[in-house]
Amino acid sequence: MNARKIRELVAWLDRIDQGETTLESLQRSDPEVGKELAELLKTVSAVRRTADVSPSETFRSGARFRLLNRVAARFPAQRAEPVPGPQAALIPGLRRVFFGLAVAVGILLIGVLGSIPVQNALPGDALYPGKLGLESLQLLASPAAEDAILQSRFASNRLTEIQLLIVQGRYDDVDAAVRRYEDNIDRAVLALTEVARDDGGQTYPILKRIEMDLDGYATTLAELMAFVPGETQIVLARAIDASHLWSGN
Amino acid sequence: MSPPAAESPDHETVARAIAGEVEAFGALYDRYLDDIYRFIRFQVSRLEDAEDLTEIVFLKAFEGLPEFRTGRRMTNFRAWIYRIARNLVIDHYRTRKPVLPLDLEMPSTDESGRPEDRAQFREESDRITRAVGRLEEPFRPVIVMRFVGGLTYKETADALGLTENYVRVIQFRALKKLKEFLEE
Repeated sequence: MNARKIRELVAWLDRIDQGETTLESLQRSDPEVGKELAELLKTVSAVRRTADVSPSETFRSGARFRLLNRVAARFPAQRAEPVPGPQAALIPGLRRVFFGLAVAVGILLIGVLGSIPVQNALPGDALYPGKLGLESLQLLASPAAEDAILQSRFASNRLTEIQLLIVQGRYDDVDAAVRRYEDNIDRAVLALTEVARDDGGQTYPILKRIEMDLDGYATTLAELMAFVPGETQIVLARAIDASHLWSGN
Repeated sequence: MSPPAAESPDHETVARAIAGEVEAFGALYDRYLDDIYRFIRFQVSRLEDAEDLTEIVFLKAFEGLPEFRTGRRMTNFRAWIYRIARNLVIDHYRTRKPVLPLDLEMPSTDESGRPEDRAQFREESDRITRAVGRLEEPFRPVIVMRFVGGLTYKETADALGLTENYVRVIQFRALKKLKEFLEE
């Protein structure tokens, strides 16, 4: 087959594949080319039909866990350090000055270090309230219709925090992350209700997306059970329940 | 060589991941896991190898993020991570011969319908994946990227270091070969 013929067939193939024309109309105008392309398009369809394959949930969550631990090890978050000295000894006026200074230094630190230490902060870290504050700002800055998706994304943040807390052996802080995880899911439910009220057509795709996310989170949480002591298992079970309450599993 | 790709829709997430935001990299993982797994699964015979290679792709992507930032030609994260996957598959073939023909036994995720229909679908899937496995470089990755991964010509060209026009021609020839294999 010569180059010109190939170019012609490729162009037809693209046009049909992109819906600009149909095989039937090509077959009417050029039966020979139409016949040749019909066979190739059948092959394309066959390959596409076979493409429906996904990794197992065990692999999906396990690989995510290992990968994010590796990333987190590269970019450690700043931990809260115990404050030295007896604060009670400070006179009230001096304490106010110190508080003002601390706020100023905090703002300066966030500005100087950028938002990454804040983004990687975990419950119990000094910068963690800053991370939650950034999330609140995101909610304020986005349309109400996206609140449910954002809350689901924040729940994913909590899931990552839970993983990292477990890796670091900070089991006492897991409860705080789980409480926030539950809160994010509750808020996603409420936000979705608003979407349903305003524009019911948008609800279903958002719901399906969040359901899929939460099913994945529940699987990851279940996998984590094996790595934590009994008391923390009870806490994780709460988070799994919260995921299932939503998805109805 | 193709002109620089349009700015990736992942630009912001990638920038946050490069800056060290763990959750941003998690988001990239969630977004591309299925695509990369599917691309690899179509080209290696053992499930365990597919999983190992998929995980390595994301590790390499993480390690290479600074390089992605400074790369002048590659600005599309999707095409870039496919390139990593493709190179890993090539390495896999080099170290584990013989690898063809493939015997993927890929399960359908769709468990609905009659058992005999599912069996027929699985048989058809096996036949197609074996035929795809018989394609050589760069025919196989072009077919898998275009019709399994749904990459555009530009993304496929960027991932393979080819031009768009060349990808078009390769795709056409690959389909012809595939059709012949399926008719045997």
